[in-house]
Amino acid sequence: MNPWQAPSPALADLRPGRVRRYAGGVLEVEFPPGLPPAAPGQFVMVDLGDSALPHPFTPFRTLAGGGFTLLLRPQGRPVAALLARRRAGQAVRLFGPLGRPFPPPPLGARAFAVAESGRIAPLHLLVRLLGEAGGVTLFVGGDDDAHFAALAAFRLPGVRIERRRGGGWPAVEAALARAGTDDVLYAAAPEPALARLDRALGKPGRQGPRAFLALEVAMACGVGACYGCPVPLRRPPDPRRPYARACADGPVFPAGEVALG
Amino acid sequence: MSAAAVDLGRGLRLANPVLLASGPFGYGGRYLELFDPARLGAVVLKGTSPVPWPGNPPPRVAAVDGGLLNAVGLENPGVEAVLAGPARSLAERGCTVVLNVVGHDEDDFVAVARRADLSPHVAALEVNVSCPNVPDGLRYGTDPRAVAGLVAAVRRVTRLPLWVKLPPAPPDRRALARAVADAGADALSLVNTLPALALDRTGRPRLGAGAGGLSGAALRPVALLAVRECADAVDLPIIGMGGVETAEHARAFFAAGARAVAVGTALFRNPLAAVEILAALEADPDPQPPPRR
Ligand SMILES: Cc1cc2nc3c(=O)[nH]c(=O)nc-3n(C[C@H](O)[C@H](O)[C@H](O)COP(=O)(O)O)c2cc1C
Ligand code: FES
Repeated sequence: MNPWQAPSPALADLRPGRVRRYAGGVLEVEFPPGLPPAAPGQFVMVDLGDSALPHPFTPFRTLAGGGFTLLLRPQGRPVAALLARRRAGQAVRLFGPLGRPFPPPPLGARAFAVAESGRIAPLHLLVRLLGEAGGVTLFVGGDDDAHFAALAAFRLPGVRIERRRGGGWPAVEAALARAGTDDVLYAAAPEPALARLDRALGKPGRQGPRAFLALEVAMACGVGACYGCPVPLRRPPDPRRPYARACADGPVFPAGEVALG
Repeated sequence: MSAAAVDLGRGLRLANPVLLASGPFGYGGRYLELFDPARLGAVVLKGTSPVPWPGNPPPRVAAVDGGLLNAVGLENPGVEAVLAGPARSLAERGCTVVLNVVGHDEDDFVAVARRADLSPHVAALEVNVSCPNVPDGLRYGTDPRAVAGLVAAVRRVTRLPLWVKLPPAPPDRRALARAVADAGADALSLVNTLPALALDRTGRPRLGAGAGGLSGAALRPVALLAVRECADAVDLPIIGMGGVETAEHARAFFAAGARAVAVGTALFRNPLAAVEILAALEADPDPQPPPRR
């Protein structure tokens, strides 16, 4: 099976298993097999019973035997709800994988991956495949211990990790300085950081590198049904249809396609 | 009330009384890979206008205590594209397709209805006079005279069964329901979302459109009252909706006077919600009522 190819989604009730704790309150929670393996950058919907909406998560690590893990940042993720489910021994309903994945790199391109503010979960499988295929440099930026948590998971064949600590978007700046015209850049970061990357690449006269941006957008259905996750298109083919759907047309968009921040 | 076939007027018989509500299921998306909507009584498509509508700016959804706020704003590709695309493909999969009709004015509603009347893929129309998320959305849904005029105008251009979808808490619900019935509607859909507001910590609206419509569990008791009062006021079949998440909720709507139920927001947490409700009704069609004290 081609690991870059998005499979058909499925639905499963799975019990959260082992939990690993990292710096800054970051958690990694194991799940048993039950869903088709995600392509890099895809997400799964997780219903924790705490809200009318399920939570989108990018599977973090693939486990031997078909299980996977989710990475929970201390802010903004339903940590308490998931841990309560786990303590009670209750299954949670998941469905996926969903969304448009990162594409494989063009032949001969050098690959760079960029994570800011702890958004490394969408990059693990990507970086693993890129490392096996010919190598990748992963820039990790942030100003908090939590932003550098779980990096041990990225010690993989062919993967070079470069940390950039500081304000602004230090990993974005480092990748922009390093990547050449024929290279390819993959980024997962808060929207202002992706917007910075998008603007730099869109400068008149700048030829490349090609870039793919993983957005984090509020969603409801996750399956392209409800139109609850619009992202404005930069140049809509029909002005009466100005939006793409983050869950179905994304969450990965080529730089230049959507209007950011 | 069982899971058996139901008659919704003007010769429309649905195989069972569990429907998909307009909006959350959209045109199916990848729900089609998770369950088969043809097993359900009918699929009500998203609000459809004569020409494409862009919808509201993001964010369009926000979870709140007990439910969901949405302000999608009726984004849709227009009636031609809907009939040629999803209406057709869902009908060809074996779904009974109902078209939810929206417009800024009477001409818009009439244009969509006239066009849909020509389609072999549409089984009924649901006239949406109750969307809180567009500027004119509630213009007809609160005034018995205005809604009667609109329904009569649509009635004149189509032979399709005509359902009218009302807001959850209009000023005079009984008068509204009677006006709709007298104007020639075949069924009532009750209810649409309830206008509502969610603010973030800084006091700014959480939705791009400002306010939105409340759906989900918090809407259920509001919807039950609407169904009960309309069932008392008019003799039309009622499709009940608002926070239907389980077979027990469906049975409550039947007890209040609904002939069918539609499932919306519950799909988000559980894509199988509608088919699981149907399976539970089939497994236990007439549970014994609890003994009276
Ligand atoms: C995201 C979303 C989109 C909706 N879109 C429509 C629509 O296009 N037309 C309509 O008549 N109702 C629409 N509704 C209202 C639902 O059909 C239903 O009346 C309401 O949500 C109550 O049912 P529920 O609690 O099961 O969702 C929408 C609701 C939601 C949550
Ligand atoms: S979340 Fe429903 S269409 Fe994207």
